[in-house]
Amino acid sequence: MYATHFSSPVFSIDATTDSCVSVIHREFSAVRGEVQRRLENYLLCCGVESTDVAFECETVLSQLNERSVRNGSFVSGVTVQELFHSALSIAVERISHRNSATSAGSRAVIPSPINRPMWNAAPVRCIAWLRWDWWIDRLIHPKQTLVARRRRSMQANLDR
Amino acid sequence: MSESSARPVRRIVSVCSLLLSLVATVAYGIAIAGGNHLNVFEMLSLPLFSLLFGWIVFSFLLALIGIVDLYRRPSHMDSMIDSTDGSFGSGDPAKRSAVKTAIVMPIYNESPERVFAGIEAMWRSLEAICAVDRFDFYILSDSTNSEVWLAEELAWSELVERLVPHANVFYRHRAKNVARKAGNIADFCSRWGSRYRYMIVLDADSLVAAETMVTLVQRMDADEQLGILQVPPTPIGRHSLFARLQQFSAHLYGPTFVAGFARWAGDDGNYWGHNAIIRIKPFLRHCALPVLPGAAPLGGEILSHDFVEAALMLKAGWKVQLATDLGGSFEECPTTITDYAIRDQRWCQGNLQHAKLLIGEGYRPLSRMHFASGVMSYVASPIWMLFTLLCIVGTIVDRLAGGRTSVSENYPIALSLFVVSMLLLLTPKVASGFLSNRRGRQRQSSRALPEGRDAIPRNGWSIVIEIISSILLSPLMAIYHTRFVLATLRGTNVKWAGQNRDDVGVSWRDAVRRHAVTTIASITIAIMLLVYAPTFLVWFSPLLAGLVVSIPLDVIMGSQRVGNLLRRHRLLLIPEEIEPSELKQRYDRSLMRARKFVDGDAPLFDRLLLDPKLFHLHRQIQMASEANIALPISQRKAIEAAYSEHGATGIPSELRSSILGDAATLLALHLETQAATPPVPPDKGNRNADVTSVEP
Repeated sequence: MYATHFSSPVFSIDATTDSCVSVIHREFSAVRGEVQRRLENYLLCCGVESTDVAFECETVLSQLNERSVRNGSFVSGVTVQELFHSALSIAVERISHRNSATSAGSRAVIPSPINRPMWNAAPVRCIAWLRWDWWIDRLIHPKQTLVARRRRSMQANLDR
Repeated sequence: MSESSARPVRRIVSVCSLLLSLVATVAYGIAIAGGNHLNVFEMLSLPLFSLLFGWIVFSFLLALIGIVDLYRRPSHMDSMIDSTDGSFGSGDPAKRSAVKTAIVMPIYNESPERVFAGIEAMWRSLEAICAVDRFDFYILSDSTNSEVWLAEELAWSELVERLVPHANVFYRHRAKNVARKAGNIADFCSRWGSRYRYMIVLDADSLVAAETMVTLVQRMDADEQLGILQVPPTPIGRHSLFARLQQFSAHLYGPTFVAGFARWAGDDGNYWGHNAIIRIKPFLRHCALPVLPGAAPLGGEILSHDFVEAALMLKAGWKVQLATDLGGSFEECPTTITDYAIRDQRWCQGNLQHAKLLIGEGYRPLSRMHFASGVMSYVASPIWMLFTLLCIVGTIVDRLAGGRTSVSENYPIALSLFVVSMLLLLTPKVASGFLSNRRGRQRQSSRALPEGRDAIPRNGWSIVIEIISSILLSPLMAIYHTRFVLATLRGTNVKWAGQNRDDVGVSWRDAVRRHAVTTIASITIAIMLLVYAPTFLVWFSPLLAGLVVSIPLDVIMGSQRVGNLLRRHRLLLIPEEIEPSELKQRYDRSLMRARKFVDGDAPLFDRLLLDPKLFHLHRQIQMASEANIALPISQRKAIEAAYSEHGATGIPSELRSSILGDAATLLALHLETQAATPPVPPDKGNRNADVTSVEP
């Protein structure tokens, strides 16, 4: 069995008072070192420059801290794994945002589309003289058919 | 090839085809009647004979026109073989098109190494003539296999990193393979088409020389009414005997037939789905594929799009031409009979669907002819089979009635018909061989067919080998085609799978499994003919010989060893084998490098969850492609449960592709894996550090 966090939120206890905030900071500080180390490794693996890693890591952790205080929830006795999980989701967001914002980001993958859909195809119909309605048209309204044919031919010329 | 010069050619071809078919049908009728009345089977065989004979007469006449055309203009033929004459003027600003051209390559579960090696070769070829800034490459992936998909992304990112700073090679993955290749191209046109005036459409195995691409753009610029310009592709790069036979015949006879076809078609030419340049604006306006009336397999969504798109372009008043004077357009061919048959099966249903368009309103007469020839290329086989059967039954009925066979009564006429048929089939081949030798004498360049003192006999022997092989293969292919046509008419839907483009041989076991029934049946028929009608055995021997030896034939044809043996003896040689073009050399180098770095360890999907760099590369591509499709909650829960139970390996392979398309589920899995498995930084010897991505 693999321990998963798909449905186990890290932020689960209401903690809006000042005392609770200080508890959060205390709990956070206790595991921060290990989380920071793992986060740095992750960022390095993502291709973040080693000179930027410390700053990135700091930003992610402070965002995590802020978020936990803002949301007003924090599990007492949070594990490194759980905290790392939360830190990672913030890091992934940041990296994705950074990739799409840079000139070599999404546009390097493919330029932004300029949507101009194809015209709908005309339905396939049999040649006129193979259709019974064409013969009936000819027999009943010979003059109208002639006018309609001329109009169609003019329209076709205009289309070209 | 102007329309005015094509019209008389068409008239001559039509009249001659009709007259010759009529004369031959009368002669055939006399031969089989043998002074008696025709029995019902013989009468039924008459229209079939007429159709089959008309078909070979038509092909012969096109080849004849091509031979005359090439004979009168030998320089024309030279440029088909070698387009590197330096006349493309890439550096001349006056000749440069004002806008960029898109080079689009739709792919579907193809080998990423081959695809990107081809792209790199073409890119570098354009760079060499300083034209790379005038083209943008688009790899349009519809791959459904998660491993192929991820390998494509990796290959793309590696290529882009190598090509920086010019990296105008773009990649997009479509969330759903809607309307297959035609839908893939339509999606490109709808979303990015308005950025470009033209697009050059390639297949996954296409290679087009830079000079050819530049010339295509120049020709489109020069003629505002030109909608599609097709460069006939020639097969190269394969080593099995079967592939080398196709390559040889395409190089030797292909130009003749194509030149004849182009002269006959004029401005009402055809499009073969790849290695062609298309004007995007009219394509967007007129070339959306209609849905055929009726149910699949003959109705519904159009499977074979190219002929229809050309017909729609022509219907709207645009020109479709063949650039028969351009070379540098290549493709790869199937390496075994079975691969060839698999490809034909896919094409068969598509071409048979075109029968409905034959009587469609508004199409040009030549478009109807293209549709008809597409249908006929598959239907001819069952007609041939039925014709043979009617001949045999007719003779048996004659024997039972009067004790004598009609053909034996009119042996000279029957023999004449046979000789004429053989002449119609073989003359274009022999004439093309002579034209090739003539060209070889005229040119000093070695980029022609084999030259030197032994060139003529070797080409002669190569032609003999090709003719014998095609005689042996014809009945086998006819059986395949008959099966495909019947399967399509029965309503069996064809599943379109990715092609096997690798040089793989055929094992004896597979060959026996495939051809045992054919072999036993043909031996039985041969013995029966020997006992009851020995004269007929002579007539049917060309047909039966290929079937009797179908098992060894399949193995030998698929063998690279036999192909290479003939190559060592300078047989079936093509110019690209004697002196590969710069483009082919670049392709081979890129392919070799790509294969060197193929990592066969863990599945890429597992690596994606473990490797942050690969994960972010995929995420970046997905976001850019705007192709996110959220999985239903129930499916997501099932995936999470599978992951919780067994880890990444517990996720079924059929779900992996859907996970790759859903950013949220993939992120959740990635976070889980990372939380459980601490990443190792790249400087600590992590092999995943090889994974690259696009960095500013």
